[in-house]
Amino acid sequence: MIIHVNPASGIPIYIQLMEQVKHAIETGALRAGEQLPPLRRLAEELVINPNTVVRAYRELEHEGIVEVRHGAGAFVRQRAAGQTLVSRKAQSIMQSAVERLAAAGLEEDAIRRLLENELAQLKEGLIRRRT
Amino acid sequence: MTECAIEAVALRKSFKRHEALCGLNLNVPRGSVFGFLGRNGAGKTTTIRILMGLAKADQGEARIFGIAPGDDDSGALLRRRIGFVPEDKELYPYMTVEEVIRFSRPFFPHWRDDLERRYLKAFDLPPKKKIPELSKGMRSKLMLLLATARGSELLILDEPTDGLDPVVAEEVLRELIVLSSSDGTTIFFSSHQLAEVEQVADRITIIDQGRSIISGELEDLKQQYQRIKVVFADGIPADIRWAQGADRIRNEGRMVSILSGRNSDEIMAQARALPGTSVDTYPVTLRELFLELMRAD
Amino acid sequence: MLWKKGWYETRIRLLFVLAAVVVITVLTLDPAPAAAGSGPLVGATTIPAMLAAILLAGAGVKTQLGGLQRSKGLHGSMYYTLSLPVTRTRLFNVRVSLGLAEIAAIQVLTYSAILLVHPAGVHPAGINVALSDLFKHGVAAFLCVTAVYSLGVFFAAFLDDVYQHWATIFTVVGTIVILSRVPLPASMDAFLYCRWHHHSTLTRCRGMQWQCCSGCRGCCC
Repeated sequence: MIIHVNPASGIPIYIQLMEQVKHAIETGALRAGEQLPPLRRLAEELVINPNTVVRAYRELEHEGIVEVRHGAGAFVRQRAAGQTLVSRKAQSIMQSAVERLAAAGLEEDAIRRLLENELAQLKEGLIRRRT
Repeated sequence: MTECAIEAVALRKSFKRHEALCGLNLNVPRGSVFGFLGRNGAGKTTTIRILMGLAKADQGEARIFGIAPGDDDSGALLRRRIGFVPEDKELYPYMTVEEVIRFSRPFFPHWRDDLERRYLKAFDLPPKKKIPELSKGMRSKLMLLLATARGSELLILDEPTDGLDPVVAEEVLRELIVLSSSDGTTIFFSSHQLAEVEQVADRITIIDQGRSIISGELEDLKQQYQRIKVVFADGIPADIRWAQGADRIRNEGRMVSILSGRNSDEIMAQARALPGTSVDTYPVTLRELFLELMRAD
Repeated sequence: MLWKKGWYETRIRLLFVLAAVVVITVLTLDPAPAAAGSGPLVGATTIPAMLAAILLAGAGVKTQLGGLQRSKGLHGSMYYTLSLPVTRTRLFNVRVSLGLAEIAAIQVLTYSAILLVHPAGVHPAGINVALSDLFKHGVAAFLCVTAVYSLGVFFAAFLDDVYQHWATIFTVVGTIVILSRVPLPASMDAFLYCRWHHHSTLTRCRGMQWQCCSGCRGCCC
């Protein structure tokens, strides 16, 4: 499983890691029961602080996506079967939204920018609520 | 007390007419990778000199593992536990790589042969080569070997990747990460390479004009600080109370660019409440944060 | 080990002094000397020691701070030395001890060389120098030279290499010139006599030599 992070993007590295793990699960690169890359090895490979990886895995555990077993590592939790249904619904929502924005005359870059802003605000909302 | 690798309280130091440190506070927990940032002349080197016992603070206290650094016996014993790489990575010109390692070994009862072997191999250091013949990258790597193989619990590094090409710099950073994760070595380093600091540090302090202006866990700071851009369709109003508490405010045409720390939520809510505004927020990189904080008020 | 490091730093200078010893010995110890007095003997033994003192005082200063605080203009390796778990006092002590040991070695070497060339004692124009006298002269000379060395170390703390050499030489020569010009009180006569004349009146100076020694010791402290 190849993970890339951009330390200079402004987005905290642990959030980037979480996103990549979630994306990997959604696309099937990581399956239920499989182990996430070992903490130390990932930190050394990416040359990032190990505490960052610790935090990412811990947050993922909070969200119920992974399970951290002492001494063994982090493993992907068994997800409800309804997961696939949610993905398909989400895909159709996205499709219609993009079509409507394009019909309103927006270019690809403008649509992407709008989406990124909304996502950033969503993230803030999520994080602030928890802390 | 032993939770802290380095602790400095209200350090003051002046040279003739120049006040290098004006009440600097530092708190470096054990096991952290701590980035010490600041412009040239901000007081970084002076602080490091005081920590290494090379200079004495006029006022205030500095302690490493609870012990005051200095030139007495306890200070000398303390240096057994600290590895130091200074800004000028110079070593004795009449020694070879092998000789300087053999020279250093007897001083340290906890010398790590395994680290010595590992770095000699990983860094590809030629043992019989004379030190002045080594390239800058090689010398930096040799100094890192000497600093870590002594079995140090704390590394104090002044610009460890200065002048190194990206490949060597990455090697050095990787070894620092390995040290931190496998041995729990505390790493305190000063650097101008903000991207690298962002990569490996978990805590930072930014120092300016002898004082610490921002301090804390890096990930928290990056989350806390936001850039908020507010565009006023009808021009920027004179009343800026909505932006109260922002760290930096800049006007550009019809747009106000704000760097905010603690009050991001309030400012955003207030900005959105104003008529004819479009509000966007962007995450802030360490480099942007640094540059903004250095910009004169 | 610090001694090994000190050796590395001083060996070239030592070699230079040894070469000077050979040259001076060859030039001054003529098997059939024409002039009376043991001037040549003195020249052969004292000058190399002085030379050693002046040169060695500055050796290795760059890689460690001197007794006086100085942080600019020194070699970067100073930072490495100071990051070692040894106090500056110990660094200083090792450097000075090694320097004095090397000076003593030079002296012993020169005396041995002279004895080798003239086994029965030096006898220019009939003056027979006993081994005990030679020994006393050696001790007195060593103490004098230690004074010069201390001066050199003092200057080395804040002057660059070459300047330190010249400063030491200048001070020593200047002192001798001043002492020979300025009339000193009677109690100092012995000292003056010794410093300027004892070398050339080796055998007659026995009693005076001890006063000379104490004078030198005073110089060092």
